[in-house]
Amino acid sequence: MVKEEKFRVDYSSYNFHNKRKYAFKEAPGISEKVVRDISKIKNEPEWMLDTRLKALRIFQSMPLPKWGADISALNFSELIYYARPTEKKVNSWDEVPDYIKETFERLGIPEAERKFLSGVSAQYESETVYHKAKEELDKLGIIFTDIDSALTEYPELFKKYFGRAIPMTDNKFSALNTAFWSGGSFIYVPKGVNVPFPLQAYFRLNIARIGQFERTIIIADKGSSLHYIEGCSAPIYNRASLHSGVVEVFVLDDAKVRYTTIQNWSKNVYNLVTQRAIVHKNARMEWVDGNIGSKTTMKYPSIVLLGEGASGEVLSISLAGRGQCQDAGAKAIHLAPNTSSRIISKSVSLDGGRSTYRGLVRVSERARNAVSAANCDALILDEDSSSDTIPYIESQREDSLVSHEASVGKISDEQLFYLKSRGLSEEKATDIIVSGFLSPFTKELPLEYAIELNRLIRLEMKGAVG
Amino acid sequence: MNDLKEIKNIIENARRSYNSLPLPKEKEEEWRYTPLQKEVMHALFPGEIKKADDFKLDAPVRTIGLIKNTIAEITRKEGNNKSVMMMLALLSYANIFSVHDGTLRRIKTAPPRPEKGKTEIRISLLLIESGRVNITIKNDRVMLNDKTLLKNDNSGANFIVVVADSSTLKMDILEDESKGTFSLFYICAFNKSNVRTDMVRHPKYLRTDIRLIASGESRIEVHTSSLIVKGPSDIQLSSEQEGSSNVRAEVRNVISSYSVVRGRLHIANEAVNSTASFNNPNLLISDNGKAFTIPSLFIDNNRLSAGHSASISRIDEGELFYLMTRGLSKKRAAAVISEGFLKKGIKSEWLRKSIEKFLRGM
Repeated sequence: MVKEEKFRVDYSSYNFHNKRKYAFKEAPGISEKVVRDISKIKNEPEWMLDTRLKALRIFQSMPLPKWGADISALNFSELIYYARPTEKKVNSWDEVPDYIKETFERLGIPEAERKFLSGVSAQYESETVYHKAKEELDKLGIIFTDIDSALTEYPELFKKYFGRAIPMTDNKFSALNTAFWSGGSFIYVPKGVNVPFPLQAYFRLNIARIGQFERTIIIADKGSSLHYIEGCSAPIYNRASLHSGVVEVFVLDDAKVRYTTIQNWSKNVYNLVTQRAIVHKNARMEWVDGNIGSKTTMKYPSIVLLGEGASGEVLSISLAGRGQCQDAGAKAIHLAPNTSSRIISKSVSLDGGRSTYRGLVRVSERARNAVSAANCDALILDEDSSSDTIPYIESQREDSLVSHEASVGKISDEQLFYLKSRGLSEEKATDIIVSGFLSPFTKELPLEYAIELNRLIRLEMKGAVG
Repeated sequence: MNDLKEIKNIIENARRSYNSLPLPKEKEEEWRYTPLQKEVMHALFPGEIKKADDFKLDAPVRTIGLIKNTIAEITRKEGNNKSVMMMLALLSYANIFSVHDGTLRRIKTAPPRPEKGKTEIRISLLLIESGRVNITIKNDRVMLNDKTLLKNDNSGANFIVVVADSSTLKMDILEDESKGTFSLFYICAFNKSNVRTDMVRHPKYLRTDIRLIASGESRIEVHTSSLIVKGPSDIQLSSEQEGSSNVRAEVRNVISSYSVVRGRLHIANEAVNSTASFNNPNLLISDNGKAFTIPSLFIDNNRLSAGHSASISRIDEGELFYLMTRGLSKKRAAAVISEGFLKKGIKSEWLRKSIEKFLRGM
């Protein structure tokens, strides 16, 4: 059988690395000294240093997870755990150093901001270098700041919620993040306030072997609503990098939060992220999660439905290309009566990539009349690629309704033939079918993100034919 | 005789593995937290096995080699499976039945009944080489075209390997022992074979392992219906498709006790133009019912169609109401709906009748 020639992704548009000086850069490796240094540079209170040190001990005592993607090649002693590109934070675009600006401009951040995004909290390595919130947010009493400032400016609020949804003992990587966290966003939306436009943070890794441990805390107070967007793009490097973020979301009574994220880390990044939302009475949480890049992703956005009538949704896509392992999924844990959850997962594997859906739906004894539906579809574009589906479904209630459905297949010959008979090339036809397959996800994205995502997918698909 | 020695070695190794393997843990995978009931686990496993049973096999050399290969392959695949290791450790006899063109050609190797009062486990290897065959397994009685091949009165365990080669096989299996049992069924289909298995379970506590191996444009269809009211049940169904083949599996449960279902379908890279599906509907009929299901798919090529589905729900209120307006009590209406639910997929008339009998006894 003649094998189709496999595509080669052209990364040149992303593979740029600006040379610049770092204000502070730790030597590679994990040590108590690094933790103390980070805490000292950030001028943190004593309790935070204690928390970090405790987390470090927990991290060191926990083994690597035996399940999921293979992360045994990850060498913790080679990673840099803290690097800061500028001495101080700035709040105006003009003050941002040119080399950083240039990188962001290639990713289209300023345009996005000019259009309708309210505030840009752009993370460049471990520190928030640029943060600007529109006056409107201040007027509404919304706190949208980098997480380091939040620790000094809102210490009580910070302490109340830090580690509440994801304690350091949750897993090895949440312990690692708690020990070395640096940068990330902190958002508080007061009671009854609707944030009228999406808030956005853009993350970039731009130094080889860097570990990025951003921590994001979002609190939507009673009756409020928020849409937060996080996107990632990183240039290519030879040594493995690690991104191990922690995102904690608290959706209080009657509030609504949507968290949209598209990760496009370069193909050498281990992306091991813990994301969890605690959803209170009649509140709603939505994770919209796109996984395009990285070498290995392990990411399972979770919804803990704690209050009566709470609901949640996870909509995720993943694209696994050459050498990639996308181990993504979702968890919905029903702990209260009349809660509902919906999980929609779409994955595309090509050029030898492996995509895995790993999900958990759990209905506890207290979750009377809980309803949950999960739907996973996988497309495998060539015979070297693979797809796994591993859903865990647990119900302890007779009056609950839990369902799961999954299908795996290739692009149908009929669809391809139809499009080709209309004059399209096989490549273009495949492109269109994949775009259609992923459309339940893309149509949930803000316009400029949908455009960027389609562009990324087209880039990944270049030369790949079904 | 070397092969017999090797079999004894495998059995001894299985005993060691069994003793060293831990009971399935509550946190088998850190991130999911499935609360397996400890007392169930302890009830199922007998504790340490100090000495393997004295395995006896008086058969021609070729036959011993066949048994050795089968046991070695099972050990390779199930090395981490505590219940299979336990059955191997307690293995006393092997039976081989070879069927050619629908007629039984050989019965070898072991006495048809165990010694009185002795608990023993025996592996039965059924080689269906051609033709059309019906196999019936009623608890530990194995019948071929209505002729009893084997009866293991005391074992409480089924350990059966069926290999269908260029043949059509229909298997009906009933498991309703009042004592707790383990069962392991290997069902292999090669060279355009067609295997259909209907299984009805009414366990006190029962773990059933079903392994399907298909290739060579064969087809395996498995339908199991379980009424899980007396005690916990654990079904582990996995399939390996290494060449072009079709596998369809359905596990239906009506639960007022505790049920675990693990489905694992694997389609290898070579198994192009294959299909696989796994369906696991569960009906919870009481507040004490707990259902856990993990229907996983592992797909390594793209020229196939595969899917799975699972659902956990209670009896539909509308259906109940309809039957009650026709004069049925709520309990009777629930039984009628459960009966229809369990019978779906089961073709064999006597198995359908046994479902009715179980539900009447509820």
